[in-house]
Amino acid sequence: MTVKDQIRAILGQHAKLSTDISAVGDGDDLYAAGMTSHASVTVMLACEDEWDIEFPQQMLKKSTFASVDAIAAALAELDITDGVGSGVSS
Amino acid sequence: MLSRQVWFGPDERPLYGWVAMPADGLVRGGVVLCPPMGEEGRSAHRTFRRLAEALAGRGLVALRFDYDGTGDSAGLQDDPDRVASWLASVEAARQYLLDLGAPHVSAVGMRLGATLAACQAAASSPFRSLALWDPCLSGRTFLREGEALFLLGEDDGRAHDDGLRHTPGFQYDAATASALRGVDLAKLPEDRPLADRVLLLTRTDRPAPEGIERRVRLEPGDLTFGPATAQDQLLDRTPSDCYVPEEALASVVGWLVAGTDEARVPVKTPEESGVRVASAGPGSRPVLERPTRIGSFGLYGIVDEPVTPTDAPWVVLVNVAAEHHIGPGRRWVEFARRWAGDGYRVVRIDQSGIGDSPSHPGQVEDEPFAPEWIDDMREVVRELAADGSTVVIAGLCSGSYSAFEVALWERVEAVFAVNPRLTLYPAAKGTHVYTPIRRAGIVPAAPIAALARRHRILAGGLWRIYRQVAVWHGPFRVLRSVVRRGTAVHVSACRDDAQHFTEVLFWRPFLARLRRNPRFRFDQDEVFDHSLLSRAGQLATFDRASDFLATYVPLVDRPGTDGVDGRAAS
Repeated sequence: MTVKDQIRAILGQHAKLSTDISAVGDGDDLYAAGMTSHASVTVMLACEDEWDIEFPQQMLKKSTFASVDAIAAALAELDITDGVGSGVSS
Repeated sequence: MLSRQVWFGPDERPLYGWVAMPADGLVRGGVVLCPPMGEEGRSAHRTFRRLAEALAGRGLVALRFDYDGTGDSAGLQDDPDRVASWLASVEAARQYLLDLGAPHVSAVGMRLGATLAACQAAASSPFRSLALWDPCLSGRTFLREGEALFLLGEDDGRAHDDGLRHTPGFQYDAATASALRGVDLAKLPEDRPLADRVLLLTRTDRPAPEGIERRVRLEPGDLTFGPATAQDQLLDRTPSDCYVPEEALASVVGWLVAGTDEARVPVKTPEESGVRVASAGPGSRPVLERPTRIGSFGLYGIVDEPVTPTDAPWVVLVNVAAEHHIGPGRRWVEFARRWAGDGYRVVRIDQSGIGDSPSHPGQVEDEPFAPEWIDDMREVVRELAADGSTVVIAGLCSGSYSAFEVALWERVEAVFAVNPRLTLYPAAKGTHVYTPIRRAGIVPAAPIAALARRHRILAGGLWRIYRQVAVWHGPFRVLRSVVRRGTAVHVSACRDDAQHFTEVLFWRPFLARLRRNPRFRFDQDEVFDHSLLSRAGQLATFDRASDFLATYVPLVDRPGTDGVDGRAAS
């Protein structure tokens, strides 16, 4: 499972989107797809639990969690990429 | 049912609480109600009041309270040893009910309150029953959630380099953040039972942390699991827009009552404390603090005043919207104590239907801009000014509206208004809070108000255009009227709220002229967020309001300056 697959699994469980996560593209705006501020917080916490990380304060902004691509980019900054990082298997 | 405001705990740092009990003084047991921390605690105030009253109605004595340095309790949120003090507060609350004569004590905790109650039970002794209502897994998750909610929401994109952890309205220092990591429900020792019976209510709209249920299932006593229904309606909304989760509340009450089948025993009826000393921070002057009931209807308020009797001006801090009297980030409490330490008399109030005030017959609870507020505020001003005292009113948003409203009815020396919004969409014609007698409220035309319920931005745009012609709907005219009555006015506003007063072109020359009046100040500053949930906005409010008081209602006799450290609102 790739990092993006894992992100999608987390979004499916926590983001409370108005559409199915499979219908959302990697670059699509998750807030426009119905994710609320509260839901984005639970997504953030789920990511932290999944990879045993803590997003630094400067990453805690809406744009970090605005799309699958944006979350993957933020994780990459924390050295979470496919095949690297705790809990990740390809 | 009997309800009394009480102080308990250490004499030097009294804890603020409310006891609810059967009127006949006979109870089956006691229940400590441990509220959520921070902004969640503000949201849950009504729910906890309702819970206490429901328990009293079923033969239990309930104590709701504020942890040390939170709410109306003594201390500051950045004092040292926060977490240890919060845990000690839980224990003090339990001891208080035992001292009243309760044969045994149970606890209900919500969010971090649940986590703290469980931790204290493990560290001390088990409760009779323990209801964990949507508990936080740990202090760390509580802090991370709050921090993320603030930074992803109200404060999006702002960087903080002050070493504090910023959550909506409340900030925690590094020591507190570190200590919170030690509060972890999942890591409580297995051989330390939490209660004879445990109820765990978890949200159904999001996965619950597995560690909570895993630890609860290790309890040797009776276990019950259920849904924390409608918790999103309580906590995923602003404190002014939240709802009491009635079904979950009823299930907690029913479960607690089912665990207490003993005969009722008499307990002492607490007396409302007349006066207690409350601290305004280490080394600062002590002030006297007491509950009060104002006017014929008995609006609830808390008075802070200097230790020596004084006829200094009164400063009224008005509750914000449907939130109780502690203000954003509980700053009204800290401002009140600080100003009382300076020599003012300060009262922070709940208007009717809000917080701990009663509701008028037929009045809907927690409804901002209730028509009854007009007479409420008039009675407050009349009563405080009855002996010739000067009255100043300070408020945020709807509290500012109340200040301007009463200043157009009664003699008010000065109004300090933060982010006032005088266009009252919620009070438009057709709503149950509409009244034609408002003097400071600008009520949009009915079609605009109806449109606003579906398309707020479109309605706002049309209303702005319409007001360029119908200039009498321009909110600035209210400021002008208040100043012309001789009231000094200071408006501090963020861009959007300042625009509220400047967007009608007709009034701009009048604003320019009024700015030359020494009794009028109008500052637009992005340091203020609308709800004053940011620390910077809160501290700027204190500084500007303090300067305003010193300028327009200076103290004749200031108390001595020995021992003042000036830290109350830092």
